[in-house]
Amino acid sequence: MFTLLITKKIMKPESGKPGPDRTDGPRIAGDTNGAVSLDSLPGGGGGTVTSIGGDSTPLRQRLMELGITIGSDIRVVRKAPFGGPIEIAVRGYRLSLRRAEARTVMIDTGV
Amino acid sequence: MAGGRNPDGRAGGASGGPIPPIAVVGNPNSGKTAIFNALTGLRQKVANYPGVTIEKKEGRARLPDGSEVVLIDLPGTYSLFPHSPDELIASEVVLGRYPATPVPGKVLCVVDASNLERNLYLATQLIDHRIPVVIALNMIDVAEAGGITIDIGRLSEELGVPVLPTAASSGRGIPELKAALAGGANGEPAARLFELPEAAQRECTLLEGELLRLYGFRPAVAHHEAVSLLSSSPEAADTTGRSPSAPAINDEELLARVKTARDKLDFLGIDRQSVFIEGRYARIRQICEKCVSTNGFAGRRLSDALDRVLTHRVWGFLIFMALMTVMFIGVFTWAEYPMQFITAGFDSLGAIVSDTMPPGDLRDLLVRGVIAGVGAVVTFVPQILALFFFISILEDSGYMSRAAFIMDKVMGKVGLHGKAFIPLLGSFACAIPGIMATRTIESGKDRMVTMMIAPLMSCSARLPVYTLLIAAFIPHYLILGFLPLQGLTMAAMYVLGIVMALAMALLFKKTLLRGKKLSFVMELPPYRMPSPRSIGMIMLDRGLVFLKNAGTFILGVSIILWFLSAYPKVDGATPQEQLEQSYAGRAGKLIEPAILPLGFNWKIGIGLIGSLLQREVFVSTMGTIFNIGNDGDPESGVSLQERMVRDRDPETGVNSFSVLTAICLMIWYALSMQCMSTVAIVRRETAGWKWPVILIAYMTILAYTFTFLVHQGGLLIGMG
Ligand SMILES: Nc1nc2c(ncn2[C@@H]2O[C@H](COP(=O)(O)OP(=O)(O)OP(=O)(O)O)[C@@H](O)[C@H]2O)c(=O)[nH]1
Ligand SMILES: [Mg+2]
Repeated sequence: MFTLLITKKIMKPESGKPGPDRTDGPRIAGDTNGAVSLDSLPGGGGGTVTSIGGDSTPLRQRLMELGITIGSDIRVVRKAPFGGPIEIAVRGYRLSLRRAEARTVMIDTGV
Repeated sequence: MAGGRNPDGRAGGASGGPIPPIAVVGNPNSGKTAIFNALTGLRQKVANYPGVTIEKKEGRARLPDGSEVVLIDLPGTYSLFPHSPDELIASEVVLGRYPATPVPGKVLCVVDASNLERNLYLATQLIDHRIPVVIALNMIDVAEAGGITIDIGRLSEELGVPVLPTAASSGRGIPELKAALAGGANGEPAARLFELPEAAQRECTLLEGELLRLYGFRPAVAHHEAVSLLSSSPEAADTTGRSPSAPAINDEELLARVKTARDKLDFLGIDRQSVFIEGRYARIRQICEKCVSTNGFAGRRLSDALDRVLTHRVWGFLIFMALMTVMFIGVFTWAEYPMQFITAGFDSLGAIVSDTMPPGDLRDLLVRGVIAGVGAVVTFVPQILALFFFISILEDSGYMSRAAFIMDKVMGKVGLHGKAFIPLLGSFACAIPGIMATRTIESGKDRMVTMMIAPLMSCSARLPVYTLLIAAFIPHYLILGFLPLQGLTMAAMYVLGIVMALAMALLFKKTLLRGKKLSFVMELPPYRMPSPRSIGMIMLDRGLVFLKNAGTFILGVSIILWFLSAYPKVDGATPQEQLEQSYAGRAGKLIEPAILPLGFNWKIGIGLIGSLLQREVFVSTMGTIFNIGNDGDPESGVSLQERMVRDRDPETGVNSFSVLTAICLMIWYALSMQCMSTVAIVRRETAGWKWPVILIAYMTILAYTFTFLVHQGGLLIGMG
């Protein structure tokens, strides 16, 4: 499932899309290799978004509209106990997500 | 909600006539209502959590050029493609297809300067829809304090629309904003801002043209529908952003074209859903790089420090529990003194009237019906004020969203949506705004579950009932030397409501409202110092609402009840016999067999019947009938509580109330559905009678069963 999505993303930059997105951050295919899902990051961890899964669902749309787009920087601020929601910092504000939703977002931690 | 289809996406229409209104839109919690209030002089609710405004509200503002214009305050939204009922209202009004609302001539877009990138998403979307926009760059004070400097001239140039810095809470920039709204510069944006891959751009433009030609849409609507058609996947055609009130697009030829366009883009490897969003954010990033500079820390240090404690994995939970306990105990204890004061006032008023008027029906009506009945309810004003004091501090500080964050796991366990927390907490004040607040919940089923359980949260109308019974029957006693038993009993009633609500949520979720995925995506705003002025305003408003209800509805019911309990006249009867023979007494006797297993006699039955429409009426009813049935002089300064304690059946000598009766009554009121306004609002929000009927039925069964069990159990262990 994930591989499928990722290949879709890798194709994108090659589709002749003009420049501006590049300023959002690097979008090289190789990034996705080391990507982990957002919910697996520890509190304080962060990185760059490489893909948002969940194929065209309203949730995916909403996450992107809220600024979780490919190339944006995300930091996990804290995680609520007992598998509760996580708080993230994105585009200078704070957002809380349930873990199942965070699982759909893949992050390149740059390591 | 008005869900009627309104195909008025069309050009022309009702756009002539008077000056078109200005719609106030923006992200949730960006300060729209604060700006709306500053411009119109109105006092709509402002608070520090997303989703405060859930209806459209109109007001008038006088502009510097002397003209008067209608402003429409709207719920917040992150995008013109809505995900929840409240967002739908905002986008439909902006697109000019909300029922019975003229197309706005201009949009005042409120942008949070301290959260610029995400706020510009909606702003640029409006611009790209070619809707005339004026931007209020609000919270400029917060941005400055956080070391964010914005080149406003440059920003306005980049966006191609007027940008005015404001700080709505202090009134800064409001005159300039008014001038800009009046000004000839109508904010008609020159060009589209976001950049799309060429293929997507081409398909979008073609489709827009088709929609204009075939359906005669206004340009904004044509653009909106084109993007919507292109970005949604065929199978999910009407989930993402397709509003139910949008006109049906069913032209075969057009749909075929849409399909070809989608296939073409898919073939090129363009992600149709993300392409429109990412293109926009990329552009916003460019704009921000030109216009925004940050120095030093982004100003969330204090907020973060607070969060480290308040959302701490251990402390956070304990603090939340402690806050709730203090709130419920506090509401009972702190208000006690002023309450006694008011009671004394009404007692002496009754005494004065008795002394000055000749005996007779009129005096009786005034003393026993009006003063005792209405007075019994008005006594509880201090508690209502105390409750709203606590709630408005929670709402204004930003703590609400944190509480939702901490409690989300529990909510999820019973299948509730994360956002359900805020409507439920709001229902402690009143279930009606609580039920309205469920509009922020995306999924219809999750919203319904929340609506069904919100009336179980103990609202302020139960407060007088609880207080009266606790003060009369629960002893003054300090557990461990510091925890007041009376206050704890109060807290226990709230806990009972919460536990039952969670249990019912689980039940509904497993039966009638089965659903799968639950999401919880919620913004956590920074903490803000609650403003004493706005807290004072809320307390004043709520106090007045309560008094007004006491002076109208409760007064009316009290007068009717007095008649029913004084007639038909029985010659030579004792007051007790008179009450028993009256219409009210007979009604009480009639239902007595049904309520006796719960421990309630016919006198309490009168109270239950009287309060069918509104819970507070129980208190005024008790005020009236225990004034009548008493052997001694009602004017003798014996409090209602004492009269209730002393009251006994003259034949059997059994007391009307025992401690067990009091507890059972409180449980009955905690769980039963005795509020017609709530039923009415559920009917309105669900557009039908099905859910209100289910609500009444399940709550009545729940209340009856539970009260019965507690009463019988209590008798077994020798209480009562
Ligand atoms: N410091 C500061 N606070 C502000 C300003 N404008 C609004 N606030 C505060 O921000 C919070 C949100 O304000 P609201 O007016 O309720 O926001 P809204 O956009 O109407 O929110 P929703 O109705 O939930 O969409 C409140 O706590 C306000 O007191 C401002 O310019 N400066
Ligand atoms: Mg508002």
